Amino acid sequence: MNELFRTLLNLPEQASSVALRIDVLHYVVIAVSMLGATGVAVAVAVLLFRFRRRPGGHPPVSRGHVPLWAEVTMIGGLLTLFLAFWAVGFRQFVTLQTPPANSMPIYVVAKQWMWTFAYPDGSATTDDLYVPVGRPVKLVMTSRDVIHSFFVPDFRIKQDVLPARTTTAWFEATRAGPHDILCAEYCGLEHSRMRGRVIALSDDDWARWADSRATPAAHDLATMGARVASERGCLRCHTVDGTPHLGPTWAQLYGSTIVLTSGDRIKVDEAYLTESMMDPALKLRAGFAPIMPTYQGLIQGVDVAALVEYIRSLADRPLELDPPPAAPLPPKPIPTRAP
Amino acid sequence: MTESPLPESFWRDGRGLRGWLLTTDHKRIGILFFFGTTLALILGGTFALVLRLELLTPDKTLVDAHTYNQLFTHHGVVMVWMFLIPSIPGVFGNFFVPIMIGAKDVAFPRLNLASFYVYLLGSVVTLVALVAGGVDTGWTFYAPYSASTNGAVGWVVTGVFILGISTIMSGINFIVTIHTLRAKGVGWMGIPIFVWTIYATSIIQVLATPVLGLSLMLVGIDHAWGLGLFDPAAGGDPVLFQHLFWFYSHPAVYIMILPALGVITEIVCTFSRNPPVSYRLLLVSALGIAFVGFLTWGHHMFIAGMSTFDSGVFGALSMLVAIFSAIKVFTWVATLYGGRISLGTPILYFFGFSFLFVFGGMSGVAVATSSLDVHWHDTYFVVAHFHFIMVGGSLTAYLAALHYWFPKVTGRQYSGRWGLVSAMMVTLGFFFTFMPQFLLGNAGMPRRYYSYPDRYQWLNVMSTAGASVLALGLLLTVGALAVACVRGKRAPADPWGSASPEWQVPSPPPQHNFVTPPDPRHGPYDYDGRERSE
Repeated sequence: MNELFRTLLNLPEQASSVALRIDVLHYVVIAVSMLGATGVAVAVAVLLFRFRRRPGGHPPVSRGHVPLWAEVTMIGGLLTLFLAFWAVGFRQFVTLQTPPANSMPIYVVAKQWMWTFAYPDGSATTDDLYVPVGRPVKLVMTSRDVIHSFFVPDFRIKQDVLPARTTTAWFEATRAGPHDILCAEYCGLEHSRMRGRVIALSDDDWARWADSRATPAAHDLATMGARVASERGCLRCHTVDGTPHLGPTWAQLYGSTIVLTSGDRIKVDEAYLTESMMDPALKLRAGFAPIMPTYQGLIQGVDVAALVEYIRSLADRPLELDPPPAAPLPPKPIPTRAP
Repeated sequence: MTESPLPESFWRDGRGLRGWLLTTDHKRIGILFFFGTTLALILGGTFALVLRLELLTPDKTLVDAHTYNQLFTHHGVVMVWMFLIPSIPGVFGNFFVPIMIGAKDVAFPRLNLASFYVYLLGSVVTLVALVAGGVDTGWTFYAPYSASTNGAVGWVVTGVFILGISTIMSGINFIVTIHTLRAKGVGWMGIPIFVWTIYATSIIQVLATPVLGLSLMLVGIDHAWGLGLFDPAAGGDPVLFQHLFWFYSHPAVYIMILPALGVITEIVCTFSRNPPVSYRLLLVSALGIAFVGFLTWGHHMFIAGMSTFDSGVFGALSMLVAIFSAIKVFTWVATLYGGRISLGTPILYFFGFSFLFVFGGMSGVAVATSSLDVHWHDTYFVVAHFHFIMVGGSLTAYLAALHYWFPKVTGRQYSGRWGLVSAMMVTLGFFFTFMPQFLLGNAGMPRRYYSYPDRYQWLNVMSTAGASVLALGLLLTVGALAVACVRGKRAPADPWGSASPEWQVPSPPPQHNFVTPPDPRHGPYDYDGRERSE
């Protein structure tokens, strides 16, 4: 029965401890709505037909007066029904707003257009949130710029994330696997691509994942840079194969000479790359919008070094000449506001 | 072919174009508003079509993300402030309220003309934004994004501010007109329900619009000079903006829907030749919606960071709106009972409306149920919900009004067959545009999404197909009515057999509305009395 309704209504899978309860209320409310609307439309159709004007007319029908008790019953009945929806819904809402005491806290920072998750052990990930199945997780969320909204359809939870304010949400995943995180509050150019995943892990996988975080495998600096680039969300805007995207591609970037919006030319070297991470708008490359946020204070020195090393390793990378199958967003200059 | 030329009427005053541009005749101002709002509808509709075409594929189809974000912003701004809010009051309210209460004009004819020019100015300023870089904030202007984004935010908020002044001018004019200019013998309980709904709407306009104007002005100042009232970086509070914005914008929903409910009442009564089963309930529910509408704005903010307690209170209060709306629906249905119903394009629109408005309203009950709203908030479910009310309710009723009063305004009849075809296309097109969007919202597709996960595509394709049918239906309506303006048969004074005062004057009405003084002995729904005395 649940599966039938869930499929009919095109609801995503129920992957949290609250999803089923909320969906059952959903089924009832929508069924009542659909029956009510159809009932009214059918009544109108029947009356339009039954009392249509005919030659000779139909025998007059006594309409009488609608008695007061009928009005009161009708209005009172509807009000009771709607307030019943409200009462059940509000109880569930209070549950959604109240994280259980034993929840594991995870700190969430949203910014245009990525999610960063910081775990109790001090580690952090970008866009992918790793959680154990069967354990309540409390999200303590804030935003660095505008309002975002943390939405996991599979969990039936959503909470706005505001700048300079902390909001909380919680969930207990009941099914392992990736579950989409979608930003639900419009936040600008790349709002619809501000997506992430909740990776819900079984107990064993969770333990393994936690271990792997504790002792990162040794890598050379460029490989480490590649990992930093994907974890920090750099690759959402920069490509490494020459494909045009929101930010300049990193392929054959190092050592090249580029033109800035000021008209100046500059040779891309370690200093320019580092400066551009910390103050991206200062020497903006011509043809690109000033949309990159600063990473000042957000990434550690070793990560900066690793990133620079990674970009340097791409200096000889052949450019991807064939157009990619899915056309990426072409870089579009945004009209800048007069200072 | 064309029959005998029309009799002397308000259409001719011998002053040519000047007579139109400087007119203080409420009927001519209604016609001016008709052209203004129709242009806005075409413009907003074109934006909507581009949006729908863009959403045919999960990534880029037609335009880039930045343009898409601007398009949905301008679509909302144009449709809400340049079409929906001024449409029924500006066109049909202006044209018919004075006649319905037995007056020669509104209380302040020059203020009435001014309200049109202020509307025009506001519209032009709003549209300047299109060429001045566009705006990508969404029609809700949520801070702090609206304060920090590039683009012509200043133009749009100034334009909407000016449009708000026009709204307030119209509102004051209607209130004073209905209070002071009712003909001798026309009591408060003797005016058509349509006048009551315009009255209730006017009260909301006068009380709520200033709050919108001030909030938008503050956003404009935040954007232009970085005052930071709503920007936490400067110590401001973005949630405060949401409270102020919805304090206006929720009642604004009733500015858009109440006149529609008035139109539907007139059509149901006229076509069934039955007085409303309860005049009193229709009147109480119109005023009730207007009042309760001021107490429900928080249901837009359940997950915005408002307190849990507040969410509970706003959720419960929101249910009252559904009660008042349900009273109206039941009254209409009961009014049909025992009637002598003639079928025509307007009553066919009512049939479509009865489903769309009830389901749209019930989906409002659904989103006022707070735990369900957590999943639906800011998804296509909400988009579908308010389009059911705004398009399925207001626009459908506007088209019904157009077909209902067309013979009175133009003095000509339109083709019932084409009316039937276009009404069916509009209703079905609408249904297939927005039903899939409920399912998209259930699946979790957020609104204002330029690109979306592949699994949402088939429903988006269906919605775009429906939108194309809807657009064709609207074009057909415009075409059929335009043809009827030129070649339609002459319409008698009262083609539908109504008892309402506007049908007792010639079609089209003469310059000063009445040839003989209005007869207050028969109420607007006194069909039998009217028949006997004829």
